Amino acid sequence: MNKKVGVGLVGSQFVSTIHAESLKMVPDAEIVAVASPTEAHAGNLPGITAFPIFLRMYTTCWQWTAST
Amino acid sequence: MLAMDGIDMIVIGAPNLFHCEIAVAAAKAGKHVVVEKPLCMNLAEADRMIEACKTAGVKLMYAEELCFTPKYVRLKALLDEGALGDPVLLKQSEKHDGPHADHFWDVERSGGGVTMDMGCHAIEFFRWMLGRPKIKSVYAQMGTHVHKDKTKGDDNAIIILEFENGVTAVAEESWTKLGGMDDRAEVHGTKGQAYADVLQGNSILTYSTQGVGYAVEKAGNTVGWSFTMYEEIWNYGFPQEFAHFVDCVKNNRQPSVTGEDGRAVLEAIYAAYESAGTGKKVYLPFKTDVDKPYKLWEK
Repeated sequence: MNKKVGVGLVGSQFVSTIHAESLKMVPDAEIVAVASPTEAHAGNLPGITAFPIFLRMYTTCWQWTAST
Repeated sequence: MLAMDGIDMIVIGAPNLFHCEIAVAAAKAGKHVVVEKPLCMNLAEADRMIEACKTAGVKLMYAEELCFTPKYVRLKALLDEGALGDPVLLKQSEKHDGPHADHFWDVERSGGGVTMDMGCHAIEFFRWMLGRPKIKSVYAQMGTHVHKDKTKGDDNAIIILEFENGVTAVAEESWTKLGGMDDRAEVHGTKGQAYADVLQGNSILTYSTQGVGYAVEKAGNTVGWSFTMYEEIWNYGFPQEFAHFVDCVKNNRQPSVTGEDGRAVLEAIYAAYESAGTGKKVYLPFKTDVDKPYKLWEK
Protein backbone atom coordinates (compact mmCIF):
# COMPACT_ATOMS: atom_id res chain seq x y z
CA MET A 1 0.00 0.00 0.00
CA ASN A 2 1.56 3.27 -1.09
CA LYS A 3 -0.87 5.65 0.57
CA LYS A 4 -1.56 6.31 4.24
CA VAL A 5 -3.82 3.80 5.98
CA GLY A 6 -7.27 5.40 6.17
CA VAL A 7 -8.90 4.83 9.54
CA GLY A 8 -12.54 5.00 10.61
CA LEU A 9 -13.13 5.26 14.35
CA VAL A 10 -16.25 3.76 15.88
CA GLY A 11 -16.87 5.38 19.26
CA SER A 12 -16.05 8.80 20.62
CA GLN A 13 -15.64 8.54 24.37
CA PHE A 14 -12.67 7.72 26.60
CA VAL A 15 -10.87 4.99 24.68
CA SER A 16 -11.63 6.53 21.27
CA THR A 17 -9.88 9.69 22.45
CA ILE A 18 -6.83 7.52 23.13
CA HIS A 19 -7.22 5.87 19.70
CA ALA A 20 -7.35 9.29 18.01
CA GLU A 21 -4.38 10.66 19.98
CA SER A 22 -2.36 7.52 19.24
CA LEU A 23 -3.17 7.49 15.52
CA LYS A 24 -2.08 11.13 15.28
CA MET A 25 1.39 9.90 16.28
CA VAL A 26 1.48 7.26 13.52
CA PRO A 27 2.80 8.91 10.31
CA ASP A 28 1.33 6.18 8.06
CA ALA A 29 -2.21 6.58 9.43
CA GLU A 30 -4.92 9.09 8.71
CA ILE A 31 -8.30 9.25 10.47
CA VAL A 32 -10.88 9.90 7.77
CA ALA A 33 -14.20 9.40 9.59
CA VAL A 34 -15.82 8.85 12.96
CA ALA A 35 -19.01 6.97 13.81
CA SER A 36 -20.66 7.88 17.08
CA PRO A 37 -24.18 8.21 18.44
CA THR A 38 -23.06 11.36 20.27
CA GLU A 39 -22.02 14.29 18.10
CA ALA A 40 -20.66 16.34 21.00
CA HIS A 41 -18.25 13.57 21.94
CA ALA A 42 -17.21 12.93 18.33
CA GLY A 43 -16.59 16.63 17.74
CA ASN A 44 -14.28 16.73 20.77
CA LEU A 45 -11.98 13.97 19.56
CA PRO A 46 -8.49 15.28 18.88
CA GLY A 47 -8.12 16.44 15.28
CA ILE A 48 -11.52 15.12 14.22
CA THR A 49 -13.66 18.14 13.42
CA ALA A 50 -12.64 18.31 9.77
CA PHE A 51 -13.83 14.75 9.11
CA PRO A 52 -17.28 13.34 8.44
CA ILE A 53 -19.04 12.28 11.61
CA PHE A 54 -21.65 9.57 11.25
CA LEU A 55 -24.34 9.76 13.88
CA ARG A 56 -26.74 6.93 14.56
CA MET A 57 -27.21 4.15 17.04
CA TYR A 58 -24.37 1.66 16.79
CA THR A 59 -26.67 -1.15 15.71
CA THR A 60 -27.35 0.52 12.38
CA CYS A 61 -23.94 2.08 11.89
CA TRP A 62 -23.23 0.47 8.54
CA GLN A 63 -26.25 2.21 7.08
CA TRP A 64 -25.16 5.61 8.27
CA THR A 65 -24.73 8.60 6.05
CA ALA A 66 -22.48 11.49 6.88
CA SER A 67 -24.03 14.29 8.89
CA THR A 68 -21.29 16.75 8.08
CA MET B 1 -19.05 5.05 6.83
CA LEU B 2 -18.17 1.49 5.81
CA ALA B 3 -18.91 2.41 2.19
CA MET B 4 -16.10 4.99 2.16
CA ASP B 5 -13.30 3.92 -0.19
CA GLY B 6 -10.75 5.89 1.80
CA ILE B 7 -11.17 3.69 4.87
CA ASP B 8 -8.83 0.71 5.13
CA MET B 9 -9.20 -0.02 8.84
CA ILE B 10 -11.98 0.34 11.41
CA VAL B 11 -11.14 0.89 15.09
CA ILE B 12 -13.95 -0.22 17.39
CA GLY B 13 -14.14 1.71 20.65
CA ALA B 14 -17.89 1.18 21.09
CA PRO B 15 -19.49 -0.58 24.10
CA ASN B 16 -18.73 -4.33 24.32
CA LEU B 17 -22.28 -5.25 23.31
CA PHE B 18 -21.73 -3.87 19.80
CA HIS B 19 -18.22 -5.17 19.07
CA CYS B 20 -19.30 -8.27 17.17
CA GLU B 21 -21.96 -6.67 15.01
CA ILE B 22 -19.70 -3.78 14.02
CA ALA B 23 -16.68 -6.03 13.39
CA VAL B 24 -18.66 -8.40 11.17
CA ALA B 25 -20.14 -5.49 9.20
CA ALA B 26 -16.69 -3.93 8.78
CA ALA B 27 -15.23 -7.24 7.59
CA LYS B 28 -18.04 -7.68 5.06
CA ALA B 29 -17.23 -4.20 3.77
CA GLY B 30 -13.62 -5.32 3.28
CA LYS B 31 -12.15 -3.23 6.10
CA HIS B 32 -9.44 -4.45 8.48
CA VAL B 33 -10.67 -4.46 12.07
CA VAL B 34 -9.10 -3.34 15.34
CA VAL B 35 -11.24 -4.24 18.35
CA GLU B 36 -10.68 -2.65 21.73
CA LYS B 37 -10.62 -5.15 24.61
CA PRO B 38 -12.53 -7.27 25.58
CA LEU B 39 -13.08 -8.86 22.18
CA CYS B 40 -16.87 -9.26 22.52
CA MET B 41 -19.59 -10.69 24.79
CA ASN B 42 -19.26 -14.45 24.24
CA LEU B 43 -17.40 -17.16 22.34
CA ALA B 44 -20.11 -17.54 19.68
CA GLU B 45 -19.63 -13.86 18.83
CA ALA B 46 -15.85 -14.33 18.85
CA ASP B 47 -16.18 -17.18 16.36
CA ARG B 48 -18.44 -15.07 14.11
CA MET B 49 -15.91 -12.21 14.15
CA ILE B 50 -12.95 -14.48 13.42
CA GLU B 51 -14.83 -16.28 10.64
CA ALA B 52 -16.12 -13.06 9.04
CA CYS B 53 -12.62 -11.56 8.92
CA LYS B 54 -11.14 -14.80 7.57
CA THR B 55 -13.80 -15.05 4.85
CA ALA B 56 -13.33 -11.42 3.86
CA GLY B 57 -9.54 -11.70 3.90
CA VAL B 58 -9.14 -8.85 6.40
CA LYS B 59 -7.10 -8.72 9.59
CA LEU B 60 -8.74 -8.97 13.01
CA MET B 61 -6.49 -7.18 15.47
CA TYR B 62 -7.12 -7.37 19.22
CA ALA B 63 -6.18 -4.15 21.00
CA GLU B 64 -4.43 -5.28 24.18
CA GLU B 65 -2.07 -2.42 24.82
CA LEU B 66 -0.18 -4.21 27.60
CA CYS B 67 1.59 -6.20 24.86
CA PHE B 68 3.02 -2.83 23.74
CA THR B 69 3.54 -1.11 27.13
CA PRO B 70 7.24 -0.15 27.00
CA LYS B 71 8.00 -1.25 30.56
CA TYR B 72 6.28 -4.59 30.04
CA VAL B 73 8.00 -5.10 26.66
CA ARG B 74 11.33 -4.69 28.50
CA LEU B 75 10.12 -7.03 31.26
CA LYS B 76 9.28 -9.70 28.66
CA ALA B 77 12.72 -9.21 27.09
CA LEU B 78 14.32 -9.94 30.49
CA LEU B 79 12.36 -13.17 30.75
CA ASP B 80 13.02 -14.12 27.11
CA GLU B 81 16.80 -13.62 27.40
CA GLY B 82 16.88 -15.97 30.41
CA ALA B 83 17.85 -13.35 32.96
CA LEU B 84 15.11 -14.56 35.30
CA GLY B 85 15.46 -18.28 34.57
CA ASP B 86 12.28 -20.24 33.98
CA PRO B 87 9.06 -18.48 34.96
CA VAL B 88 7.37 -19.79 38.10
CA LEU B 89 4.85 -17.13 39.08
CA LEU B 90 3.48 -14.07 37.27
CA LYS B 91 1.41 -11.30 38.80
CA GLN B 92 -0.37 -8.43 37.11
CA SER B 93 -2.91 -6.00 38.37
CA GLU B 94 -4.82 -2.98 37.21
CA LYS B 95 -6.71 -0.85 39.69
CA HIS B 96 -8.59 2.45 39.63
CA ASP B 97 -11.82 3.84 41.00
CA GLY B 98 -14.07 2.72 38.16
CA PRO B 99 -14.76 3.37 34.49
CA HIS B 100 -15.85 6.62 32.85
CA ALA B 101 -18.94 5.70 30.84
CA ASP B 102 -22.19 4.25 32.15
CA HIS B 103 -22.17 1.28 29.76
CA PHE B 104 -19.28 -0.29 31.70
CA TRP B 105 -21.42 -0.42 34.84
CA ASP B 106 -24.37 -1.99 33.01
CA VAL B 107 -23.64 -5.71 32.83
CA GLU B 108 -26.18 -6.12 30.01
CA ARG B 109 -23.97 -3.91 27.82
CA SER B 110 -20.54 -4.78 29.28
CA GLY B 111 -21.02 -8.49 30.04
CA GLY B 112 -19.43 -8.24 33.47
CA GLY B 113 -17.61 -6.08 35.98
CA VAL B 114 -13.93 -5.50 36.64
CA THR B 115 -12.96 -9.04 35.57
CA MET B 116 -14.42 -8.39 32.12
CA ASP B 117 -13.09 -4.82 31.92
CA MET B 118 -9.62 -5.25 33.43
CA GLY B 119 -9.11 -8.95 34.03
CA CYS B 120 -8.88 -9.24 30.26
CA HIS B 121 -5.67 -7.16 30.38
CA ALA B 122 -4.02 -9.49 32.90
CA ILE B 123 -5.03 -12.68 31.10
CA GLU B 124 -3.57 -11.58 27.77
CA PHE B 125 -0.52 -10.14 29.57
CA PHE B 126 0.17 -13.58 31.10
CA ARG B 127 -0.39 -15.41 27.78
CA TRP B 128 1.86 -12.98 25.91
CA MET B 129 4.59 -13.00 28.58
CA LEU B 130 4.76 -16.81 28.52
CA GLY B 131 4.63 -17.23 24.72
CA ARG B 132 0.93 -18.11 24.78
CA PRO B 133 0.79 -21.58 26.30
CA LYS B 134 -2.68 -23.00 26.95
CA ILE B 135 -4.48 -22.08 30.15
CA LYS B 136 -5.17 -25.22 32.17
CA SER B 137 -7.45 -23.89 34.89
CA VAL B 138 -8.93 -20.73 36.36
CA TYR B 139 -9.96 -19.94 39.93
CA ALA B 140 -11.54 -16.62 40.87
CA GLN B 141 -12.92 -14.77 43.86
CA MET B 142 -15.15 -11.77 43.11
CA GLY B 143 -17.13 -9.24 45.09
CA THR B 144 -19.08 -6.02 44.74
CA HIS B 145 -17.88 -4.00 47.70
CA VAL B 146 -18.20 -0.29 46.91
CA HIS B 147 -20.37 0.16 43.81
CA LYS B 148 -23.47 -1.90 44.61
CA ASP B 149 -25.60 1.16 43.80
CA LYS B 150 -24.10 1.38 40.30
CA THR B 151 -23.58 -2.15 39.07
CA LYS B 152 -24.47 -5.81 39.37
CA GLY B 153 -20.92 -6.56 38.23
CA ASP B 154 -17.87 -7.34 40.34
CA ASP B 155 -15.80 -4.34 41.48
CA ASN B 156 -12.94 -6.41 42.94
CA ALA B 157 -11.54 -9.72 41.76
CA ILE B 158 -8.65 -12.10 42.34
CA ILE B 159 -8.06 -14.51 39.45
CA ILE B 160 -5.57 -17.40 39.57
CA LEU B 161 -4.59 -19.04 36.29
CA GLU B 162 -2.69 -22.26 35.90
CA PHE B 163 -0.87 -22.71 32.59
CA GLU B 164 -0.11 -26.05 30.98
CA ASN B 165 3.63 -25.35 31.41
CA GLY B 166 3.13 -25.27 35.18
CA VAL B 167 3.33 -21.50 35.64
CA THR B 168 0.85 -19.91 38.05
CA ALA B 169 -0.44 -16.40 37.37
CA VAL B 170 -2.31 -14.16 39.77
CA ALA B 171 -4.38 -11.18 38.66
CA GLU B 172 -5.74 -8.56 41.04
CA GLU B 173 -8.35 -6.25 39.59
CA SER B 174 -10.16 -3.39 41.28
CA TRP B 175 -12.66 -0.66 40.49
CA THR B 176 -12.39 0.70 44.04
CA LYS B 177 -8.79 1.96 44.23
CA LEU B 178 -8.76 5.72 44.80
CA GLY B 179 -6.11 8.22 43.73
CA GLY B 180 -5.47 7.27 40.09
CA MET B 181 -4.52 4.34 37.91
CA ASP B 182 -2.33 1.53 39.24
CA ASP B 183 -0.87 -0.95 36.76
CA ARG B 184 1.95 -3.28 37.73
CA ALA B 185 3.42 -6.71 37.13
CA GLU B 186 5.86 -9.16 38.66
CA VAL B 187 7.74 -12.02 37.07
CA HIS B 188 9.25 -14.56 39.44
CA GLY B 189 11.61 -17.08 37.88
CA THR B 190 14.03 -19.80 38.92
CA LYS B 191 17.04 -17.45 38.51
CA GLY B 192 15.60 -14.08 39.49
CA GLN B 193 12.59 -11.82 39.67
CA ALA B 194 11.52 -8.47 38.25
CA TYR B 195 8.97 -5.89 39.32
CA ALA B 196 7.50 -3.43 36.81
CA ASP B 197 5.21 -0.59 37.81
CA VAL B 198 3.84 1.23 34.75
CA LEU B 199 2.97 4.46 36.57
CA GLN B 200 5.58 4.82 39.31
CA GLY B 201 9.02 5.87 38.14
CA ASN B 202 7.39 7.49 35.10
CA SER B 203 5.60 10.24 36.99
CA ILE B 204 6.32 13.41 38.90
CA LEU B 205 5.85 13.15 42.64
CA THR B 206 3.65 16.18 43.28
CA TYR B 207 2.29 17.97 46.33
CA SER B 208 -0.30 20.69 45.73
CA THR B 209 -2.70 22.51 48.05
CA GLN B 210 -4.65 23.56 44.91
CA GLY B 211 -4.98 20.20 43.21
CA VAL B 212 -3.57 19.29 39.79
CA GLY B 213 -5.63 20.04 36.65
CA TYR B 214 -4.82 16.62 35.23
CA ALA B 215 -2.46 14.28 37.05
CA VAL B 216 -3.20 10.80 35.75
CA GLU B 217 -6.06 8.67 34.45
CA LYS B 218 -8.88 8.50 37.03
CA ALA B 219 -6.94 10.51 39.62
CA GLY B 220 -10.02 11.96 41.31
CA ASN B 221 -9.00 14.39 44.05
CA THR B 222 -5.42 15.61 43.57
CA VAL B 223 -5.15 17.98 46.54
CA GLY B 224 -2.11 16.89 48.54
CA TRP B 225 0.19 14.23 47.14
CA SER B 226 -0.36 12.90 43.64
CA PHE B 227 1.70 11.42 40.85
CA THR B 228 1.57 13.49 37.70
CA MET B 229 2.12 11.44 34.56
CA TYR B 230 3.85 12.69 31.45
CA GLU B 231 3.61 11.03 28.03
CA GLU B 232 0.84 8.97 29.61
CA ILE B 233 -0.53 7.15 26.55
CA TRP B 234 3.03 6.42 25.38
CA ASN B 235 3.80 4.84 28.75
CA TYR B 236 0.69 2.68 28.38
CA GLY B 237 1.78 1.65 24.87
CA PHE B 238 -1.17 2.89 22.80
CA PRO B 239 0.77 4.74 20.06
CA GLN B 240 3.12 1.74 19.73
CA GLU B 241 0.10 -0.56 19.47
CA PHE B 242 -1.45 1.53 16.70
CA ALA B 243 1.86 1.90 14.87
CA HIS B 244 1.95 -1.92 14.80
CA PHE B 245 -1.62 -2.34 13.56
CA VAL B 246 -1.18 0.33 10.88
CA ASP B 247 2.07 -1.34 9.78
CA CYS B 248 0.24 -4.68 9.54
CA VAL B 249 -2.35 -3.13 7.22
CA LYS B 250 0.07 -1.05 5.17
CA ASN B 251 2.65 -3.82 4.69
CA ASN B 252 0.37 -6.87 4.96
CA ARG B 253 2.00 -8.26 8.07
CA GLN B 254 0.53 -10.65 10.62
CA PRO B 255 -0.62 -8.79 13.77
CA SER B 256 1.02 -9.90 17.02
CA VAL B 257 -2.30 -9.84 18.90
CA THR B 258 -5.29 -11.30 17.06
CA GLY B 259 -8.95 -12.21 17.39
CA GLU B 260 -7.89 -15.73 18.43
CA ASP B 261 -6.01 -14.21 21.38
CA GLY B 262 -9.08 -12.18 22.32
CA ARG B 263 -11.15 -15.36 22.14
CA ALA B 264 -8.76 -17.24 24.45
CA VAL B 265 -8.94 -14.36 26.93
CA LEU B 266 -12.74 -14.39 26.79
CA GLU B 267 -12.85 -18.14 27.47
CA ALA B 268 -10.74 -17.58 30.59
CA ILE B 269 -13.04 -14.73 31.66
CA TYR B 270 -16.05 -17.07 31.40
CA ALA B 271 -14.16 -19.67 33.44
CA ALA B 272 -13.37 -17.01 36.05
CA TYR B 273 -17.05 -16.07 36.46
CA GLU B 274 -17.98 -19.76 36.62
CA SER B 275 -15.35 -20.28 39.31
CA ALA B 276 -16.52 -17.26 41.33
CA GLY B 277 -20.10 -18.51 40.99
CA THR B 278 -19.39 -22.09 42.04
CA GLY B 279 -16.43 -21.63 44.36
CA LYS B 280 -14.53 -24.23 42.37
CA LYS B 281 -11.47 -24.30 40.14
CA VAL B 282 -12.60 -24.47 36.49
CA TYR B 283 -10.69 -26.44 33.87
CA LEU B 284 -10.42 -25.35 30.25
CA PRO B 285 -11.71 -25.72 27.61
CA PHE B 286 -14.83 -24.25 29.18
CA LYS B 287 -18.12 -24.24 27.32
CA THR B 288 -21.41 -22.65 28.32
CA ASP B 289 -24.65 -21.54 26.68
CA VAL B 290 -24.70 -18.35 28.74
CA ASP B 291 -24.44 -15.22 26.57
CA LYS B 292 -22.81 -12.88 29.11
CA PRO B 293 -20.05 -13.80 31.60
CA TYR B 294 -21.61 -12.18 34.71
CA LYS B 295 -24.55 -14.61 34.56
CA LEU B 296 -22.28 -17.47 35.65
CA TRP B 297 -21.40 -15.60 38.82
CA GLU B 298 -24.93 -14.40 39.53
CA LYS B 299 -26.63 -17.81 39.25
